[in-house]
Amino acid sequence: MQVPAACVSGSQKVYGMSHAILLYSERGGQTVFASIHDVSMSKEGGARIEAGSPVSKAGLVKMMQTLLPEDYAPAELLGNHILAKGSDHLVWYCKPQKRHVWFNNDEIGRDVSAATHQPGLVFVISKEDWHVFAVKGNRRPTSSTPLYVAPYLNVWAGGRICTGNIETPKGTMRFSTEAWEEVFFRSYFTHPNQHEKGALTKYRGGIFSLWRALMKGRAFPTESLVRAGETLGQAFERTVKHG
Amino acid sequence: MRNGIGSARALVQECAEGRPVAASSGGFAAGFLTLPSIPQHLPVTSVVDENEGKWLQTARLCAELVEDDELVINDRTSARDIIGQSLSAWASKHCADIQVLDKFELIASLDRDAFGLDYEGEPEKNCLYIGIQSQQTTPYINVKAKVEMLESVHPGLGRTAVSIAEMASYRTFTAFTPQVALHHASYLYWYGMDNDEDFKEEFGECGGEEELDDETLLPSQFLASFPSYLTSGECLEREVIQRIATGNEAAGETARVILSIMDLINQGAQMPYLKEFYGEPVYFSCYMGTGDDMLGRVIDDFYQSTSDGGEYTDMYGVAEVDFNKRAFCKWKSEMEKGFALYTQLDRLMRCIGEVQ
Repeated sequence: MQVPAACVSGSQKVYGMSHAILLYSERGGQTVFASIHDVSMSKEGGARIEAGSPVSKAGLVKMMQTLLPEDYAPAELLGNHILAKGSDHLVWYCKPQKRHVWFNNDEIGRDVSAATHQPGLVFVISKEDWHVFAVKGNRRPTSSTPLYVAPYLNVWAGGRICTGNIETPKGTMRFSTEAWEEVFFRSYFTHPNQHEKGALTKYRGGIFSLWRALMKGRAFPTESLVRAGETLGQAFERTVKHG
Repeated sequence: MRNGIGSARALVQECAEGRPVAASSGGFAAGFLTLPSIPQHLPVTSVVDENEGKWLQTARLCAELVEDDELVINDRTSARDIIGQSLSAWASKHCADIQVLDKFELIASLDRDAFGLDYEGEPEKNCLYIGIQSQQTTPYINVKAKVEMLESVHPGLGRTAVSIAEMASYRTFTAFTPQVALHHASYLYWYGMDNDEDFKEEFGECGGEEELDDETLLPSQFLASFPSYLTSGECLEREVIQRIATGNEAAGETARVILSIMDLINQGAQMPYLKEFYGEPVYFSCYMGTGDDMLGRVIDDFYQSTSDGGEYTDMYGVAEVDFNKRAFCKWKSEMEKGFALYTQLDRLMRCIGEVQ
């Protein structure tokens, strides 16, 4: 018996040439205009650049939007909770409220959940990372607002969230604060990423005691928040401007 | 690392602790100007495989399966060509003596979705997947004449051969025997029951206004359509089989094949499929019957039911192999034992039946 064998790949993509953009300039000088052309294929498989038309500024912008949709945020009015927004970042404030949280952890419980009080939070989506910080009070933070360590499992020192294999919002959903919050709160918290005593909370008994108490309905003890050592403005510089 | 809480409740996927952090944390698409590693000498159409490095790693492992002169390599040979050639040459060598049972193809992939199987939200793993796909050449093997001859010469030998063939097929590629037909028939006709008493009780509870009539097929009628050596009866002891194996006639050859299968099973021979393989193979290594029984009816109804949906697949199984030599060698060793067992099963089927 002859056994055939094959490889299949879901990651393989085939790119075909469809259009060409020609740039024109004086010899050694700056490009002064561009034209866009259809590309046709000959029977022999060769490519041929057809007659083209000048590219307009609007056309170039449209092309960039098609090629890099995530760099072009949809036009919209900003909500009051948005603190900063750009093509590669999004910062917003989430006021103190009750949210459902989920744990899969030996100390707190396996596959347990409850609606619990949360402190005020600031989320920062930057080019590479996703951070969370806590803030005291229920007012919209400003550049000089001091930040506190977000007292959650799976958050590194400096506020970076360990995403593991969870699907973070992509495409147009990348600018949806609700989508990010949904991912943050509706994933299992599994283990602390900071182990020094008092690094995550000043609550007596530590982080696990805090969440066990919150799951029983305790109001969030803001006095238990640990200073992050930076203001919102400084955190923005660190995570977005220099992130 | 975060764990998702399942598809019903979250936007996220479940993952196990200790898995690598997803590359998606930044979430930004690569700029189009930096996207291709598209070779410049292929300006019209370019094929880009994001897993080229892993294919190369796999090719290095697979090349160890064969001798250098078994590979045809030139300046246009890709890593995937080497994998295909190596797997094919190696498997063909080990399956050279298979003549009647269903043929199969080996398929390597870095992505289990390539097999069209539903893994119920489990996270992707960083490993090589090797699947075995039926070539849909399942033969019907009529065992009536030869097994009855064996039974007349050595009572119990025919039954033993049928029983050991079933056992070998469960460990390689399942044969559609009367026992397997009974299993499918129980779900097709009898609410999962396989005897008259349980079926009648279940029918009373589930059958509504309907009543059993003369046309209702009962499990006992189904079983009665087969000679007893196909469905029940004691098997011979190994010592008895060994005595028969010393003879030169057909019974001796059958006994020798039975013994070699017993030895392979004792060594743990079994195709290394995933235990948690999601999907039910829809093809079989062979259909085994007498030509005058209810096997054909169940086969027809089974295939009719598979067209109504479900997790049916033309894959016999899929193995996960980690990207290291030790794991690959373990898979290779298990596969070779599996091939040996399938080869002996093929030999046994020729001893006890005729392809129709």
